[in-house]
This record gives sequence, C-alpha cells and structure tokens, in this order.
Amino acid sequence: MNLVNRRCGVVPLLRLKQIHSGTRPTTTTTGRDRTIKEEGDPVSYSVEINEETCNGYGNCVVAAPEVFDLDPDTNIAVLRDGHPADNDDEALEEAEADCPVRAIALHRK
Amino acid sequence: MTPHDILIIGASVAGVRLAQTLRRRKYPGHIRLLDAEPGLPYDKPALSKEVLAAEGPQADPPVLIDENQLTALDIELLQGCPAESMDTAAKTVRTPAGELAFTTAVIATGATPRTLPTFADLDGVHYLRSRADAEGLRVALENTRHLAVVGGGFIGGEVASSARSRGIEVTIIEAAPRLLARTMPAEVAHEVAELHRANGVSLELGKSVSYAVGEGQIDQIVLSDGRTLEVDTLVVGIGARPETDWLEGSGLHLDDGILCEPDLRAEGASDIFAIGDVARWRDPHTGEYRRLEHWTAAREQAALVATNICAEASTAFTTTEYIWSDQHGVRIQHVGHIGSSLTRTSNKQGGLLFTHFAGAEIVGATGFDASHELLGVRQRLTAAALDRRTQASTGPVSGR
Repeated sequence: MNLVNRRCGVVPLLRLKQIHSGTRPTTTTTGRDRTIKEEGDPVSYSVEINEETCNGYGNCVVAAPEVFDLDPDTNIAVLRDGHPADNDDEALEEAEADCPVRAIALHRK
Repeated sequence: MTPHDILIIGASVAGVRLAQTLRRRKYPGHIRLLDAEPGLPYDKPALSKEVLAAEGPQADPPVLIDENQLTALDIELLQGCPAESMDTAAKTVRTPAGELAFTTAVIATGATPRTLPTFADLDGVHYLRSRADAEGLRVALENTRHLAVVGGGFIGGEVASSARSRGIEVTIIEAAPRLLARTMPAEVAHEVAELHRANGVSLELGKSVSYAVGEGQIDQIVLSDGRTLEVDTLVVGIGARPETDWLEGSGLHLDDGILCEPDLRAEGASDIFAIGDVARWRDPHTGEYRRLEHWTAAREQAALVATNICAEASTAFTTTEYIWSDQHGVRIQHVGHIGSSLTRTSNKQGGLLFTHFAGAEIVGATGFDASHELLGVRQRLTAAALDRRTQASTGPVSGR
C-alpha cells in the first residue's frame, strides 16, 4: 500500500524515522529539563516532566522512546541521557498529548 | 482541491483527538465537532478517580480542548447538540440545530452504562459516565455513610477506592464468583480483591441484589442470599453498551457497535467511519470483530482514521491493548491479552507483575505498582505489532 502523501501534507506515522533520520539532535540537560536542538534547525524544545502528577503510565515512552524512560526505582518518567537519534517533533508532541494526567509540558522555543 | 466537510459525532477523547490530528495533518476542509453534552469536551478517566475523591469544592475533569485551541485549529464545536439520526444516502445528520450535511462522517458517540431495572425509580442510585454523573455522585457521597457498588469491574473498583478515601463504608456486590471475571485471570482478580479487603472494602462475591427497599430514596438492599444491607447511595457499574440507538434504520450494520472494516470504515459505507467505544472492527488477521472501551485505543483509532482520511489510505487498525486503573493508591496496569498460563514476579519496591503466556509466547502482562516492568512487556508487544502492521502495509503476508 502506498502511504505517500497525496493531499494533506501527511507524514505517515511509519515513515517518520526515515524522514527524520538525517538530523542528529544534541541535548543539554539542566536538572530534569532538557533542551533538544536539531542541527540546522532553529526549532528546539524544553521538556518538563511534573513528578508530582506523573503516575508512570508509560505512554510517553511508547510515543518517544528515545527521549523518555521510566525510572525503575520510582516508576516515574525521566528524560533519557545521551543523544537521541531521531526525536522528531511529532513523537514529542504525541508524548505530551498521550499523557493521561498531562504531566509533560513541551515548550517550543 | 475541494474543501471537504468532516462531521465528527461525539466530542470525547476519540472525537477531539481526531479533529486535532486532522489539523496536524493539514486537513484543509471544514471540521465540525458535535457534542451531545454542554460545556467544553472533557476527559473521562478522572471521573471515577480525582473527581469523586474530591471533598469540599468541585473538581472538574480536565478539558480535552479549550476555546483558544478550537479557534486556532478552526474547529467548529456544537455543544449540547446530540445527533438524532443519520441519512447515509443523503449524507446528513439530524440534530436539534437542524440537518447537518457532511462529506465524511466519523462516529464517536461512545457507550452508555448498562442499567439494572431493579433500581428504577429510586433516588440515590447512580450510574457513572458523564461529567454531570460524576458531579452528582460526588455530591451524594458527601452525605453517604454506606455505599454499595454493584459490579466488580475496574470502574466499580475505582468508585469503591475513591469513596473509601473519603471514609465511606463500601460494599462491592459482584454476581460472578470473583472480581474482574470478564477480563482478568483468577490470580489477578484475587490480587485486586485482597487490595480492596486490605483497604476496608467488603466484597460480596457470587451474589446479586434481589431487590431494593426505600420510599423515594434507596434505604436497604436485599442480597440473593437473603441478607439485608443498609445503603445510602448505590452505584451501578456493570459495563456499557455502545451508543448506537440513534443509528437504527440508518442502514449501517449494527451489532454491539458499528461493524467496521479493518480500517474502521463502516461496513457498506465509503465515507463514514467509527472510532472509540462505538466501533466494532474486523481484525484482518483473525477475521473476528473486536470492540474496545480503552482510552488509549480510542486515541490510536482517531489518529489512524485522521491519517487515512488525509492520505486517502486504508491502513488497518492494530493496537497493543493498554489499560490502567488506580485503586487505593496502587497503580494497576494491563497490556496485551491474557493467555493460558501466567507467572508472578515481585519487583524490589514490592510491586507485582503477572506475565501472561500463550504457550511459550508472552502475550500480555498485568502490573501492580510495576510500571517499569510492565512497560518492558508493552514495548515488546508494540514492536511486534508494528512489525505486523508494516508487513501488512507493504504487501500480502504468506502463510497466514
């Protein structure tokens, strides 16, 4: 089946990794906040996790596994260390929207 | 390009998510969102938890979309506007606001609680589905000493937990010999039962309510074993049925939901889709129809249909089922299916993970305060499902 965009500028979910594989974001971490910058791309995010409201549902990890993880000791969402290979904005926005208790705030800079 | 009018019938999590995703995919046409209820669309999971547990001032459930977002995304919301009938040939929906025409319709009318005739005409008997239901029950709990919950499913358990947190005596009455009889294996149900007992909830298993006593207001219930319980408030949580009454005579195929193709298109209709609790779609791998009442699945279905509409594609829906329930401060999570056998392991924080097997294959897991361990199983099952979806979208799969 052809998933290529024909009408509405669709980025089919399954193609995201291929489309975004050319960018290598760098990350800076301040406490639990992290700014994610994509090289050659002015868009960056700061990702906030509210530890008080996070209940460890794990939806953010399913949506953006390169960015989020669950702490095995506390079962609370944490930002991963290292250099995510392809954290595209759609996956991050999914992670924010998929949180049942809205514990993730994504600030687009 | 002709702008297309999309009419979304139902503004709970599936309907709102669909509208948002259409705009994210740059859908150029008019989007009209029909909400049977007044006010802004809201999220339901909190209704049986935070909203009920709140003492004193009212705790509103979170809104799914506010006025600013509706304006920014150019989504027209019709509030307090239930769909009354659909003419699939003329492509119109009748509402109190008149006949609304559509190019594409997406039905997301959800489900409505199953009722028990035993309690007709008695005050103090509650069902829980809407924001108004939850607020009514929350207020009733302020003057409740004895609460009876009929139905030992997840909703009943959450209501029991929320009421216990307010110091109310709670009894759960379940007709089956154990809790969660329709959805969970006995070992998991036993764990939930022990959690309730440890938190002071009385369980009456294998019993039903023969009749209720009261003049106007419910006063007592008589159980099938002849015993009488004093009751100020009673909540019925025995499941829900899809909200399809308004579609009788529409020509859509109705059978415990709207029967859909694997891509959630209503059978026999090219421009009508169903998502959320109301959709009963055919699984292309098994040929069986399935219907889910899960928050996560509703959102996934909405995203898929939005993508399919924009891409003029017909990708089949697949999901890794995921549900959660918060009871007595314990996070219960379930992913995937239950199997023919299970293992039970503890984590170092005292949490518990049941892993479900079909033969040697892991098909699901249920966790009690074991989010991290459950996530591992969920990611594994999600990856397997993605593989299957990729195979299905790139060509025929042999050997099935």
